[in-house]
Amino acid sequence: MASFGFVSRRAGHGLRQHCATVALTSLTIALTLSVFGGMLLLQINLQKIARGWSDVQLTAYLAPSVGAAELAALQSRLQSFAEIERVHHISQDQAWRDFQAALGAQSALLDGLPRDVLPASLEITLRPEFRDAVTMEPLAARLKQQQEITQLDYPQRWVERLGLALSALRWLKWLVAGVLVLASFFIVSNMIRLALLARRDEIALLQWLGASEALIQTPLALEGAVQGLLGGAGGLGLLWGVYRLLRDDPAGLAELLPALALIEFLDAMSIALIVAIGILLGASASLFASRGMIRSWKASTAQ
Amino acid sequence: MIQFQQVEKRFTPTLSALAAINLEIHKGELVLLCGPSGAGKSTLLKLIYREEEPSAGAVIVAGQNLKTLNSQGVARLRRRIGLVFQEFKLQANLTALENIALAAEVAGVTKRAAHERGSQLLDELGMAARRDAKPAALSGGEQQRIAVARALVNRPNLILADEPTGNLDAAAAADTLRLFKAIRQQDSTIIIASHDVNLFQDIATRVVQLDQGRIVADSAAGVGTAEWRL
Repeated sequence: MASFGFVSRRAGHGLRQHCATVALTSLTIALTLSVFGGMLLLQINLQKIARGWSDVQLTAYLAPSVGAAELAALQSRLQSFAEIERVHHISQDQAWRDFQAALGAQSALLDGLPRDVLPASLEITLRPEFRDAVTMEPLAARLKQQQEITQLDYPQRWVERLGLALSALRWLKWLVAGVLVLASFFIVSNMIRLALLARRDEIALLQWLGASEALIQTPLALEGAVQGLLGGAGGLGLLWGVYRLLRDDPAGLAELLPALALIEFLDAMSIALIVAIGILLGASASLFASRGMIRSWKASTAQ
Repeated sequence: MIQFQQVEKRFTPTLSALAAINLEIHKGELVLLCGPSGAGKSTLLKLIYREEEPSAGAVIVAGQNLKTLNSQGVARLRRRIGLVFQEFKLQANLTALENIALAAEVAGVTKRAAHERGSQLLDELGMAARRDAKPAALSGGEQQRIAVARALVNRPNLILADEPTGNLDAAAAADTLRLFKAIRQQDSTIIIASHDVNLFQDIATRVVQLDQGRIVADSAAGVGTAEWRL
């Protein structure tokens, strides 16, 4: 019965008439969602760092006695491992030249050292699906069993720590979001309750004219949803500001933490999630606040 | 059309607003409920549009016991009743036309049709020039005209008016009286609660007098004093 036009006009009318309450409610939702969004931002960027670390190859240092034939056989053997994508040989000479280049102006420090002081090595790149701490440990054990390999370097500890941090963050994000959204739900619903008290006459008039509960509550829920949408947009705006501040780095923090220069903003899915949570939060808080309250009112008690 | 069967309404165990009310109001009657303040006039009207529920007995409107209505049923009932109150109860931020159209839109009429009906009523009430005025810019009499127009916009069979002239000066009250005369010609059932018996006595087809929650005189039943001659 209630036409969308009537409901949206009532909602628009309510939003225009009570700008201060709308702004305050939206701000509360914005602050809640910016904390949740901040955690999402942290997770996304830690994942990116984790991906970057996982790209670092395992380095297998070879015994000096390994000849060309043994090297070829070893490369062929390793290439047959399911986890390994690529095996690249770095000769002693290449290692020397790489080290020299890395030292740059200080390369004179190497003068007088024999060119075979650095061992030849194999840089082993894993297939993307095996780039995690769970795969790396048993693979490292298998590689160490190869006679030609004397030492193996891989970022196991960091991958493990980052994996743990990411796993914790995945859960913590929802836990914090749950607590914040619940707290925000009650704050917002109480603010809406106060706003409804100010609109008691208007609502009582609708009851008196024979408006159904649905017709009274739907515009209020729509108003709540719009406030949630504004809150979501506000929260994202706050996050964008923080993101730009970190990215532009006016304090020169990137010298201490180079990852800041590569920080990424939320992806489309996360943005949609934040906006959706905002809309749901606003609409449900509004319905929760209005439900019991409106039923208890009597039209004729309004002035 | 409306029946009160042994109706009692108590707000506290010791405070009885209405007691042993037996009343039958028929289609097309214009009933004047009169009596002093606190006699139970407004409570009796509230029982008809289910603002209050009886503590005992039954109120039956158009064959339906109002006690059996759920919230949707109450909303449906109210959409079929035109209500006019002493305080007008117009929405301050809506224009005269929008206030009238609001009642029609609540009943499911489209905005366009509601505004057409509202404009037609404003024409009939001689208020066409004031259609875009907000209530604050209207006199008490004009506001009451808008309130009456809002009560009529859904073409109800039943109109309830609680002290419709209570906030009006003599000229505006006379104006409201003319309005009710005009409505009556449209064959609606009208119940007016008023302490001003003289004002409405000429147009009422029946006068019911209440005192301390009881019917003490009913011109239709020949109950009570013969003071209420029509």
